[in-house]
Amino acid sequence: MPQDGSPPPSLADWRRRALDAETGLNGAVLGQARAVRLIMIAVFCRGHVLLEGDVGVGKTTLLRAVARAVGGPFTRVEGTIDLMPGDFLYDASIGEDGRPRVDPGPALAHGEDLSIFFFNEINRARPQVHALLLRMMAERSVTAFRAEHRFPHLQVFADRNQIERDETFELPAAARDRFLMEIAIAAPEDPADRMALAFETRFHDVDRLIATVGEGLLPYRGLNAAAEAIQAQVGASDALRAYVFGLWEALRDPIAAGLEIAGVDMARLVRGGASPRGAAALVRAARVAAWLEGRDAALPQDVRAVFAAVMAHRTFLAPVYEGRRAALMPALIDAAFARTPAPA
Amino acid sequence: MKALLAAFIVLCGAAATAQELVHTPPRVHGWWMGDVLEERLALPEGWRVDPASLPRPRAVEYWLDLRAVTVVEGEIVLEWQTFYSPLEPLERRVPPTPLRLIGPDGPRDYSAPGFTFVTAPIRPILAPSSPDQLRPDADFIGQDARGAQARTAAFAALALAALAGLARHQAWPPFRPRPARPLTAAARAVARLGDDGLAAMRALHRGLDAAAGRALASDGLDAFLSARPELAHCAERLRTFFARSDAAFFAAAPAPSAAEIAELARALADAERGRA
Repeated sequence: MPQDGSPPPSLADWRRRALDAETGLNGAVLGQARAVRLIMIAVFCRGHVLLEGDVGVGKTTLLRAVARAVGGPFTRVEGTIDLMPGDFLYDASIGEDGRPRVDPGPALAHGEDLSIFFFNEINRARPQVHALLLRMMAERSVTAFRAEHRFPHLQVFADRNQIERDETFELPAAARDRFLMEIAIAAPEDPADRMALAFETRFHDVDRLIATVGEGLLPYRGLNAAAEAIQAQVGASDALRAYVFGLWEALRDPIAAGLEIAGVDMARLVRGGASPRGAAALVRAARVAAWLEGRDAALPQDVRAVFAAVMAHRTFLAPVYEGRRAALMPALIDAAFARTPAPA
Repeated sequence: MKALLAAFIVLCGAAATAQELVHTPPRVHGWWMGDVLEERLALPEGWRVDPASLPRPRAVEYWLDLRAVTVVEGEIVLEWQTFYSPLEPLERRVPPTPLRLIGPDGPRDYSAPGFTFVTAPIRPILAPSSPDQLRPDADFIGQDARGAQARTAAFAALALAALAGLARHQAWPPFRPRPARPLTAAARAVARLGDDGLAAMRALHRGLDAAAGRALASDGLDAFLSARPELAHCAERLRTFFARSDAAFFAAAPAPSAAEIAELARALADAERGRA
């Protein structure tokens, strides 16, 4: 709730704020309207987001801008190979009195108000760190100083680049499943946007650019309640349930759904994934997408809008196809869309 | 002595070159109608005949054919055939044949002198003719054609099968598939369904899915219409249809009447058949 004691914003008010924040973010991060919309959906789903993409396309800028829009305490950690879980929780130093001191580390420094935990280059961190992060994401709590610390407002944003493979640790499937969305960020398609990014000086100073986004447009203390209200308000009809189930089944068993991709043995393509948690996340995200569009019922197009971001990273391909994931996942998802009628 | 030797050598040389052109006519008598007479001309050593000067086989007279002219190892053979039917033994004359011979000293015109021969009737002219004088007919030689007929039938069947296969491969009639008209089928289905608006919408959705080749939704409508320009005039009605379908199926809004859906389905079907 807002700290000034004013009444909590209504859902219509939240939506107006969300669209304002979206406009601000699109002004600061050019040509990423789809990614901005998906992140906005994730914020109102209270889901964690993994950004993936090339170097220098604006992943970090986007996340910093979102963090500014959401407001609240913000912690940023750079993933490195020697980062250990203790480095999150404890800050060891020599005090002025010459004695060793252990203070709360970056995860604990803001107490339970921590709003955004921003993990840069997550694939550079070790599996031990991934395990800690897994708990933070799943349970929104950690154990430190012999006590459990809870972060009810926590949202984890992580990014990774796909260029280097040396000295990186692939995220375990369980950790990937905990991310609501994995959003691919690419350089803008529009040549005008790309030229603007290269030549307009306002895009060169990232700090000033981020300062253009309204701070605290989406007060973080109210987001959990707003997310619950959205889920309660936006309906999902029987036809939509059937549609989601059809898509889910198509991803789990492409052969039975009649999916075909040229040059791919569909019987071997999908090894696993598309978990019930993933399907639940899909429905949550579709409801928020419908709400952001101003509807009170989720439509198939809302499901399709979030499907790739929510489901692709939870679907695990056979090792022989994993190397071609970037081409095969969109083809698989498109085939599932093509084969799943709405309404059935 | 020397003179004698010289004379001997000269005589020997003369003998060596004394090879003359030798004309050998056939015997001069004893021929009947239809007989073939061979006239031979042996060329001297070193001589050959100009092939262009050889007579071509032809009917020389009404009673005389030159059947063949062959040149074998320096000998020209003229094959004549007589069809003269004399009433009594009679001498006939075969005309000379002009030729051009090529010798060591160059070409020279030469005329084969021809020859005479005596031909006689085959039987007495005044003797009466009766059918029993004819030789009996040759026996009838029957041939069993059943094998050939069976083979003909088999190959005809094979040819027909091959033609059918080709027609099927090339989609010639009657193998040409009827044009798929999913929207027409959908219009019929909608008409059959009566006044159930939701079921009518569903049937039209299936028709549109089949026409698009994939599940068609409102966000794929523009691509569908650009691929099917004949439906473009229904674009607004299709957009309305999809919006109302979304509302009816997914947002619990009331479904439009089946009659409206049927009308849109008919318009789409007409456009699909090129009647709009």
